[in-house]
Amino acid sequence: MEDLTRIATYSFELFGMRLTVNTETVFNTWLIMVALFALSLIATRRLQKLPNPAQRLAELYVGFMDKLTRETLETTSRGYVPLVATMFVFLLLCNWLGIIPGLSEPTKDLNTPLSLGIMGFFLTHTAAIREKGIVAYLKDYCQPFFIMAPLNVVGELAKVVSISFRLFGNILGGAIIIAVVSHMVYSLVLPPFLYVFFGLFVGTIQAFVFTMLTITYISVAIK
Amino acid sequence: MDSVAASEIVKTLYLLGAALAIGLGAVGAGIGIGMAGGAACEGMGRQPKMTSELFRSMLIGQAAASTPPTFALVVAILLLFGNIQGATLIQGFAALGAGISIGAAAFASGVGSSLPVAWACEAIARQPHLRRPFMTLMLLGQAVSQTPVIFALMISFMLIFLPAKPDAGFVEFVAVLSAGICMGFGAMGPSVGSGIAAESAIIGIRHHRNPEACVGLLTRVMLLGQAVAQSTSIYALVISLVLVMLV
Amino acid sequence: MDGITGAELIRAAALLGAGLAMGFGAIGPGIGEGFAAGKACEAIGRNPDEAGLLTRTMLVGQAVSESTGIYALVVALLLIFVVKG
Repeated sequence: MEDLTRIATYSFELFGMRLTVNTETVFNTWLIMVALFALSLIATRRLQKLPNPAQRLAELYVGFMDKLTRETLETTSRGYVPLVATMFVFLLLCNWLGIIPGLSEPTKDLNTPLSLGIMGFFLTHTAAIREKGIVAYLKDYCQPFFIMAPLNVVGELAKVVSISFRLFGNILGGAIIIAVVSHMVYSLVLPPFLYVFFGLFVGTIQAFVFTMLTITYISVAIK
Repeated sequence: MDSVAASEIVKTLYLLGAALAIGLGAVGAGIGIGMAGGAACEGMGRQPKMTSELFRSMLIGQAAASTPPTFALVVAILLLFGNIQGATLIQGFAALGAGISIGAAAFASGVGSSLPVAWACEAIARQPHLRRPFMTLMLLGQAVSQTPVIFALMISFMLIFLPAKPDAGFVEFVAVLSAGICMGFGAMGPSVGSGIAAESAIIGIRHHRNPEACVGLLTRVMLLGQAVAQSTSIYALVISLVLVMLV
Repeated sequence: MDGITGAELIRAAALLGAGLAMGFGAIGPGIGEGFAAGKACEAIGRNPDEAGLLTRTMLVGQAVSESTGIYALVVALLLIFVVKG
């Protein structure tokens, strides 16, 4: 049970500020980035007309994400496709990492989903200002009438909270349930099944939901 | 009353928590699973040839719908048979909060995640060739509609394994109890709501001209709608976490 | 439990109020948004060509019905962090 509350941290002094880093999350995130880099190198090495399996898989994935993004945004431009495709595969590997013994999901740490959520927040609002102009953008906050503006701002901020805590809560909840059940049955029977459910199944769904919500927020904001 | 020892109050609170957890938690799934069974019987009456198909689908759906009471049972067992030697008063109140949290959440989720089963059984009886998409949508919708219960279980475990704080006072007792109430009742609405969304997605497939072609689209919309419908339970989770951390 | 001061009582009531506000405030929006999502699914089943419009309308409707949940969140946060007793 003790491993739930123990967090590996490293803190240092920078410009008079005390900064603390969760070393486990940073290490696991870099591991995933290296894995993704290697995978894309394998998939794009020696591109051919008749693709080898790795290239075929990559083409299938990129094609699916391209279609999904452009259907949701209802545009022909491919501007958001690289972002969306990268975000999904990154979150997918993050959520799946916990099934490897000794490693833990970076999304179990609130910092990972929250930073992705804040990134999505800025993207959404930049896209909205660029699409509609600053006046029309600000006018949207005064719906249905002027006094509601502060609550509309809170509503926008609450979206960041809900999108990041949804991912964080699901992954941390799964990890806590697995830890408690393993503790109760002495790691004998149930955990492999639980890892498949919470790691693979819930992880996939939540990665998809996070990505879809990010695109949909953009699509609602620019319409 | 002045002769009651603190350890007896703590024991009482633990027992009360266990009773509320499984007592409330089993009601919803009882109602919901019964409704699913009823719908399957209607379907069998209409299409006697489909009996074995319907029976299998019903059992799979009911098994998935009884996950929330299983969570409630785990919490109740932990509260009943956990080691409470030397537990402080704040851990007693936390145990009561944990029971309310998982009990109320499992109550609603038992109903919510049974709604798609009933509709899927009826739909399979009417359109047996579409069994696969109906089952896929039903299981996916059930799994996602149980997200608030997972949040409630997380809060319950955090409350059960709360460290003993000897200097905690009245404010802290109320705070841990309030965290449990907040998460438990906050999970109720979203659980039922996302169950309704899943059941309507199954109805949506039935209305479509070419049902097999629109499964992907409807799954996507259903997941999105359920995810947004659950954001209020996430606000409840945030408030509960703040209340637990505040102690 | 003896010796509860007035300040402690106010603080405790504020925390309990925060839990009650957010807990019960989440019930209505949760069910309502689920209804909206369900009706959107049904409508898309009937008319899949309008899926984009229907999804956007669903999200806007859900955002509006979520505003009461956000009011509950604001009130709960105010009760926790502003009322000091």
